[in-house]
Amino acid sequence: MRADESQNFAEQFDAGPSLAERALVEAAVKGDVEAFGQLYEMWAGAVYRYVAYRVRTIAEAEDLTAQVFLNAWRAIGRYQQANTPFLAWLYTIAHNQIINYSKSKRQTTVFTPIDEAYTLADDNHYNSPESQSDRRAEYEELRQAVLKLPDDQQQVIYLRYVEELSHAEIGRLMVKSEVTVRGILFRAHEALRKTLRREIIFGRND
Amino acid sequence: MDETTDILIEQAVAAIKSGQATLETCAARYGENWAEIEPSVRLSLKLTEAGQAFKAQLAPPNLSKMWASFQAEIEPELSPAVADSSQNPGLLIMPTPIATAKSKLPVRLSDWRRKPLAWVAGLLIFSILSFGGVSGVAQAAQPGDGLYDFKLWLDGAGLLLAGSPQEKAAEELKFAERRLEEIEQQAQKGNLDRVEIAITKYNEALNKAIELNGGKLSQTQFNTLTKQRDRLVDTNHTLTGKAANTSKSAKPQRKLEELITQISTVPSITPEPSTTAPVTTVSATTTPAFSPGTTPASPGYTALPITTALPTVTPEPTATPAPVSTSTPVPPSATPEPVATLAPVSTPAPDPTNTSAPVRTVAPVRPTATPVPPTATPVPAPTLAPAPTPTPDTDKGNKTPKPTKAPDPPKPTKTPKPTDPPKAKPTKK
Repeated sequence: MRADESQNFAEQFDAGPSLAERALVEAAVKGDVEAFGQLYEMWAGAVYRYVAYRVRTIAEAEDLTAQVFLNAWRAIGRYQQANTPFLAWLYTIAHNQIINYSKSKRQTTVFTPIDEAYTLADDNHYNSPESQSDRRAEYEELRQAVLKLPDDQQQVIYLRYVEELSHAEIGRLMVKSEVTVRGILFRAHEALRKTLRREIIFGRND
Repeated sequence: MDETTDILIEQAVAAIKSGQATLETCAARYGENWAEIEPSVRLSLKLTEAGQAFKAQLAPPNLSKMWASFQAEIEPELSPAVADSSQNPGLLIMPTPIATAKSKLPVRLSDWRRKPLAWVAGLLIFSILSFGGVSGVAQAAQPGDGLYDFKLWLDGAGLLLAGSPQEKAAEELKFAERRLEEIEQQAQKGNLDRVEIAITKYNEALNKAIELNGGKLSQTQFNTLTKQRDRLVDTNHTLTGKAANTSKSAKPQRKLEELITQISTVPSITPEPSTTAPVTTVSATTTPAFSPGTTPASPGYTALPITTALPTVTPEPTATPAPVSTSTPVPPSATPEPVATLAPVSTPAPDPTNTSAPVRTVAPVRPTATPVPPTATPVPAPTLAPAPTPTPDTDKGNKTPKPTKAPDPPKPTKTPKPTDPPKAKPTKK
C-alpha cells in the first residue's frame, strides 16, 4: 500500500457506495461470482491491510484475507446493504476471522514480539538505516499497545491513523455518530497514554 | 472529554502534519492549554507516523494468489455449468488485471482433492459397511424377494475360490443344498411360487455340478444327492397335501417330480475313491457288464434307483470272490477282472469290488431293461480287452448278456489280457 493507494481508498470510501458498487453487491447477493470478483478487487487491499495490522506476516495476512472473502461469499445472502457499508461488513468478518485464527493457532500471532515481527516483515520496505531502528521499535510497541485495546477503540485508531479517515467517515463505516467516534478515540488515547512508556510519546530527547 | 480541547488537539495535529507549525510553535500558540493537549497531540502524531510507517513497509498483497485460493474453495460449491469456466469464460475469472496474473499461479486444491487417499479410504470403508449391511439383510431373503438374487450371488461366492472342477462341483452341490432348504421351508409355508423359484435354482445348481464333474458324481456326492432326493420326495408329499386346496400347486409339484426323476437318473460315479489296487481292477472289468444292462449312455455308472436309494452299496461286499464262480464264464482263476464282469451278470450280487462298481450291480437288478444288449460294448471297452466278449451277449438278450458269453471267458483266463486293460481303464478315469 502506498500513499496514493491510501488516498484512493479514502476518496473511494469518502464518496460512499457508488451506484456501481450497489449494483455489484446486489448481483453478488444473487450469486454472481463475477460481480463478487469486482468487489474483491475493490476492497481486497483494505481488508488485507486490516488483517496485516493484526497479524503482520504476509503469508498469514493473505491466507486470512482470502478466507474473509470466502466467508463473505458464503454469507453474502444475509448481507443487508441498507444497514451496513460493504467494507464495514468485510471488516467485521475479518475481525472475527482474526480472533478465530489466533485462538486456533494458540500462539501470539496477534502479539508478535517486536524483533520477530520485524524479522518477518520485509526489510526492504522499511528501508531502515541504523538511525531508524529505534523508531521502528517504537512503532511496533505502539501497534502492540493498540492491539490490546477494546475492539471498537482498535478499530477507530486503525481507521483514523492507518487509513486516515475523518471522524465522520469512521462514523459512517462503523455506523456510529461522529460524536461517538470522537469519544471512542479519546478513550483510546487515554488508555494508550497510560500504557505506553513516556519515551514513546514524548521521545527520548524530551 | 471537553469538546474544545478535542478541537484544539485536532487543529494542532493538522497544523503540524501540514508543516504549518511545529511542537515548539504550537506550545507558544496554545499557551497555557498546551500542557493539557500536548500529550494527546504528541500521541496522535506518533500514531499517525506509525500508521504511515506501517503502510509504507507493508508488502502489497498478492491479489491473484488470494483470488485463486478463494476460487478453488468455491468452485465445488457452484453448479457444474458455472464452475466450468471454459464454458462460461466470464465467470470465476477475475477482472482483467488480476486474471492475467492468476493464470501463472498454481491453483490451490480443496482439502478432499489434496487427500485422495483419505477420500478413497472413506469410500472403501463406506462400501464395506454397506456391503456388510446389505449382505446381512440379504441372507434373510426368500425366493422371489428383492434381495434374493444378491443372496444367491453370496451363496455362490465360494465358486470364485474353488479351483478345480471337482471343487466347483462341490460348491454347486452346497449351493443346491441351500436351495433345497428353501424349497422345504416354502413348501411348508405353502408358498408355491417361491417353491417353484427355488426348484429352478436347485435344478440349475445340480446340472452345473454334474456338468463340472464330467457327468459323474463321486460316491460321497452321490450319497448326498440321494439324501436330497429323499428330502425332495418328502417335500413332494407335503406339496401334495397342500395341493388338495389349490390348483396352483400343480406346476411346482410337477417341477418337483421332474426334479426327483432327474436326480434319480443322475449317474453316480464309480468308485475311484476307496477302491484300491486289485479290487479296483476287478470292479472295473465288472462295470462293462452292467452298463449294457442299464443304459448305454452312462457307462460304468448306474442311475439311482428311484425306489431304493443306496441299493448299490449292498452288493459291493460280497462281490469279489463269488463272482468267479457264478459268473462261470469268466476265467476266474486267471485274474479277478474277468471273473468280476461275469459275476454280476449272472447273479445279483456278483459284483465284487465294493467300489462304485457295486452300485452298478444294483442297476443290474433292473436288467430287465437289459434288452440293451445292443451296444453294451461301450462300457466294456474302457475297462478291459475282454470287451470282445460282449458281442456274444447279444444272444442272451435278456439279462446280463455277458454271462452268455461265458464261453469267451477262456480268453480272459489267459490273464495275460493285461494288454487290453490299459485301453479301457484310462478312458474311464
